Amino acid sequence: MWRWNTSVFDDLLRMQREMEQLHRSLSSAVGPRVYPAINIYDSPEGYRLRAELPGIDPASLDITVTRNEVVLKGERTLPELEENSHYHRRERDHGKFSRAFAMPDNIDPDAVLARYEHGVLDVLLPRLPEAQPRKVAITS
Amino acid sequence: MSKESKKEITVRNKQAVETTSGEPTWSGRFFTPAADIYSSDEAITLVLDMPGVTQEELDIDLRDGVLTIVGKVPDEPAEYRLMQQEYEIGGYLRRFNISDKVDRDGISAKLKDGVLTLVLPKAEEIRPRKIEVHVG
Repeated sequence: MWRWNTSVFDDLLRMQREMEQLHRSLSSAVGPRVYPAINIYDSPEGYRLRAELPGIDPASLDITVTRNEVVLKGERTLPELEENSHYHRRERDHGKFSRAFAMPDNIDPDAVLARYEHGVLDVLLPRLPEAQPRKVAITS
Repeated sequence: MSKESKKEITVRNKQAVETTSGEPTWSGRFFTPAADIYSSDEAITLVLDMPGVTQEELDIDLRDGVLTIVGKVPDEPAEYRLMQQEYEIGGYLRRFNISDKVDRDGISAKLKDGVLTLVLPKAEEIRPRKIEVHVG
């Protein structure tokens, strides 16, 4: 009896997962969104904001960080074609962008490191020292 | 009005590629990279956005008139916890039909900052030529 119940529960969980997946795929098909697409991670070294920015001049990026906010501004420009060339297809976008991200209020702005590699911007946002978890020793 | 209401540039959502048939050795998700194609008298140039792809993980193959471009992107470390996700991690795959009028031995490729540029020189016989008119 319990086994039967468990398998029904598994089926429900699987259905729920499938629904969530479907929901995700549908919601991601809703366009257009603000450029660039970013992911934010919580890593052992701090928060990490990553942005897909292929072919950007890193010098054109302006990153401002406070204790609780990251602002990313820049412009993507594509080279002008030579006079005797013409486009058959244009899918790559260009233009100015500016985005602001609210973060948990414990970023150490002085310790921020930004790296641009293989067309991906990686901003490491270390947490302020007092906010880092501490192991508490128990004395008996 | 949000802070982000005056943008001139928008994100194109990544389009997943079906790789179920014919490519049994590939695992993971693949997306269609955005591409520009332009031509001049001398060459056709393909420019593809493939952020996260390194030279070692890029494979360009030309056979039977089909140019196949595959780039792999490593997963983020398992200990990273997602807080906000706007793009998915995955490789890139795109195919182009290449006409006979391309000088296949002359194709060159360059990968820089996640942008792949492929130059396909036109075969000598189809390049436009100025015909000189001799005044007799």
